[in-house]
Amino acid sequence: MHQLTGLLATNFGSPSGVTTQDHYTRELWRLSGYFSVPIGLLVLGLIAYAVLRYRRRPGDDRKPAQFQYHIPLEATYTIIPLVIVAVIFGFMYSAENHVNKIAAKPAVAITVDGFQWGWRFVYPNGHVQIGTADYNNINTNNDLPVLVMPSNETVQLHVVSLDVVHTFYVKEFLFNRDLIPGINNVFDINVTKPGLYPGQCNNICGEYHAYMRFLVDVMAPAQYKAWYANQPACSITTAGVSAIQKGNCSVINAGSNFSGNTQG
Amino acid sequence: MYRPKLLQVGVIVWLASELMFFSGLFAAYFSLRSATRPWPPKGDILDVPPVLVATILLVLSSFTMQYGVHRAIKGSKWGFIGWTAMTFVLGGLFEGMQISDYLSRPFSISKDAYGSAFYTLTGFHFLHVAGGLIAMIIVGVRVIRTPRFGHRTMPAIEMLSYYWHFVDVVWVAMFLAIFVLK
Amino acid sequence: MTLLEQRTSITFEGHEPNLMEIVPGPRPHGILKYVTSTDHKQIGLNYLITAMIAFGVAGLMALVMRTQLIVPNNHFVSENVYNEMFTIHGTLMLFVFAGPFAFAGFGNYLVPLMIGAPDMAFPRFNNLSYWLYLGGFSLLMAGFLTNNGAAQFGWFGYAPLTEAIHSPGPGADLWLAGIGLTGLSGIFTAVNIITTVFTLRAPGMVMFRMPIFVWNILVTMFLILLAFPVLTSAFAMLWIDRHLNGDFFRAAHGGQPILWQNLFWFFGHPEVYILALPYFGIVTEILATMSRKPVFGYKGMIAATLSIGALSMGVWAHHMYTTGAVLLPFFAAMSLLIAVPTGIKFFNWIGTMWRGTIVLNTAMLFCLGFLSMFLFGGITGVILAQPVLDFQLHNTYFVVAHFHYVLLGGIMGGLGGLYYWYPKMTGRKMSEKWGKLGFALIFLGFNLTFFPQHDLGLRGMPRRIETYNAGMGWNFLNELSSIGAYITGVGVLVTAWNFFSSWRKGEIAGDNPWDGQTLEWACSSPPPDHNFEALPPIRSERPVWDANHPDMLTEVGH
Repeated sequence: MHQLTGLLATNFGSPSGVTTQDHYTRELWRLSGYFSVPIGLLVLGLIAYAVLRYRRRPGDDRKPAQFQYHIPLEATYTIIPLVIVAVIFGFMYSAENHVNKIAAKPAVAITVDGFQWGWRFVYPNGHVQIGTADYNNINTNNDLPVLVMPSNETVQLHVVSLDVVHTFYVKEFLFNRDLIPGINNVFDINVTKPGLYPGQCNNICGEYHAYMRFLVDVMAPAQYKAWYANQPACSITTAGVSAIQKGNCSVINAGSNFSGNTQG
Repeated sequence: MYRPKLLQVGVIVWLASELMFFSGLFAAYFSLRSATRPWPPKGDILDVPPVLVATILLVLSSFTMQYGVHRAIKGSKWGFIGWTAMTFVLGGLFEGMQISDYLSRPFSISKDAYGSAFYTLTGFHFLHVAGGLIAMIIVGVRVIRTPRFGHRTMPAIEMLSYYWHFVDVVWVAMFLAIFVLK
Repeated sequence: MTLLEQRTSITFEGHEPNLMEIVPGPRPHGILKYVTSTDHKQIGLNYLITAMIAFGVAGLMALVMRTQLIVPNNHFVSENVYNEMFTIHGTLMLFVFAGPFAFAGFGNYLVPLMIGAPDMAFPRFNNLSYWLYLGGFSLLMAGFLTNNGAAQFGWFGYAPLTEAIHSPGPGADLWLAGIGLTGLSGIFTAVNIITTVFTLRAPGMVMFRMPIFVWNILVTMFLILLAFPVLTSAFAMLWIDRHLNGDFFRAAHGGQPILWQNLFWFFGHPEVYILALPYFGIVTEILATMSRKPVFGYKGMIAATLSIGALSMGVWAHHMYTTGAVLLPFFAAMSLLIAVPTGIKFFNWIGTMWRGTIVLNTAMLFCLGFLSMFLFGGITGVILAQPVLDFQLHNTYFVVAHFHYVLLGGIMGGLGGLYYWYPKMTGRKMSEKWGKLGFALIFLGFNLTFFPQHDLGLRGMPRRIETYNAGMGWNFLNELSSIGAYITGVGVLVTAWNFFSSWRKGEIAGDNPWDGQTLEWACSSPPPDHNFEALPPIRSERPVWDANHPDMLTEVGH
């Protein structure tokens, strides 16, 4: 029995996530596995059985059966899949509501701007983390923009594209969301495990799409507070180097006027 | 045994694809409209009365076209030619009024999304009407030059009328969407 | 003449062939025959061969991509070349190969034969369709000759990346024009085939006696009619944006980039079924013939095809779950529902084999390859149809693996069709020995290429990246995948060799080598102009079988 539950607890290859929401994603993935693995094996088994059992061997003079309809059987394999699909839909619907829930009062709200080919993270006090990767060597993490977030708190990300369509994607969050000009996308994320997570643009956005990477640095809440207190308002951190730009807050924070004519 | 005529089925199926093409344009128009306030945007001013007159002329031309088909069925070659000539004049007038309307619009195709949608929708319709006029000339010449007017020319005449009615109906929908439901 | 002597001894009770006008005079020869032919069989062959060339070209591009990705931080090709490769690979595979190969190639060749018609409804129009299609293919390839290279924004060309300021140069315009022409050609083919099926069926060939292949092509043609014109309208808008400074997809001027996605996928999802349905039809025909049985649940099969067609019009936004701008539950429900008719098809295919006498030749092996791979692609499809899981897997290699299982599954069916109808087209059989070798290589190589990609997706590798960081845990799986691609390439070469060498040297097949069931096996191989000298009486959906096996008619009742 213990082995059986162990087997049923398999993740079917899915990575373990680090947020509170990904629990629902993995549950759904597992549920899909419970349905699809047996069904797949059943169908594959039936095909293999039919082919092996009824194949014509040399000197075989069987007459093939000539039946064409079996209404009860056909009705059965119409109705059972319908029921399965309905069940999957039900589970999916409730999970979706959890994953897409948006808190009225998040602990931190950060604007994530994507552009060709880098990221800009704007904090409530006007501090900006910005960077584009080194286009010559993808193996180096120098110059990557860093998104700093507290753990165990609801962080609201407002994703905005400054030119073409991009996608915010961090594998460990088990989550994608597009940055589309003209569309306001907001989602909540609550990371339970501090750490450094790689992220990447996940929608073809031009020549250096592959290099549009970033890092998410999730800190314990106290550590985050200390870090945040250290970032002067309206300062920019580019490639790890901070620069304070006094009186320039509006320029730094102007969401859609990043470089004049970037709006396609 | 009854068999539908090849050309008839073919043209109707092809008109279905034309309908889907205009549906795509309409979908774009309503999608843009749903997210833009005010609609039409400032400065995009329409002049409805002349377009209403053009619309009436085009609707009228559907009737003259149908009467021409009716005359052709009765075997009257010159009856058909006469009524088609009238249809041609009405269609030509519509095109002329469209051109004069375009020339007097204060906005262009590149001003904003409204301008793009306005000129794209009406422009594609304009081209379809022009295609209809050309088809009328071709069918008319064929009819005049054929020594035996009869069932061999009928399919082309009927298909011309199907197309013309289709173009007409699309315009009525376009007129309602762009000029009435502002 | 040797072929005539070998004809089987079917005697048909005298139905006069329903011939249309026969053009007098000598028939064109040589290259002129291919250029000017209005014969549906010649045009079908033109399509099949052109599509296979496109498959080869797009396959080479796939090998370039797999070579680039075989190790991390590789510089085999530049970013722009890589982007061109995946864009044109996808475009060619979808618009020039997979679709036209089945619905225009096999469709043109087989639909008139299967319904007992002498030719298509509009033969000259049919010729025009082919040349538009070839023109589209040429324009797509011409992009490589321009200064800025071919299109580089992926086959679904999301605005505003496709706007003039982000993708300057004629490459993108040639992409628009090329797809536009193949789309127009598809619409013309649809008009032609729908008219043919509605008006030129032989006496006795009522709709519910048409082979499943013809039904599937018919539904496909309606999907083309509904989907392609909408793509044309979107292309017109994009062209206006690029050249007349329009604002349809420019957010700063009141336009909507998301509008492109809606219009594109409104076309794009039916397109998936435009690609898949003809292959379902091919596989159904082969399974029935090789099992020597009627199609199990014939009417249920048609109902399933119709409902797949209907549902496919309402699922486009499942490509857009992560945009945050679509009604998730509706599109999820519709997308999940499609699994039901597809499941019915699977059980009907198994039912068709059940208690038959199955001949395991190359055509049948390819069908089994289709069944197993399409099954897998279908299951991952049910996973991706759920928005919450799509949030995780969207645009990762999991998706790449999913649709390659679906599409290459279909293409396996298409290769089966090639082996199955080759004797009809040429009078000769393709070599079974080379055929089985080709199948083994393609099946093995394909699974080695794409199975690891599921795991790559779960490990977070985005699609369309030109290179990747060595520390992501993707290296080994990419290596496997690339090796698989090379094996697939060898398999395709073997199959192509078999195809071309059997044309002159293959074993003489006779008119009905597989003991076929449907009307195309009633004429000689290859069929003469205007197809039939005489038709067997059509009293069920398998007239040739009924004529040849009066002792084994379909059992009535369930």
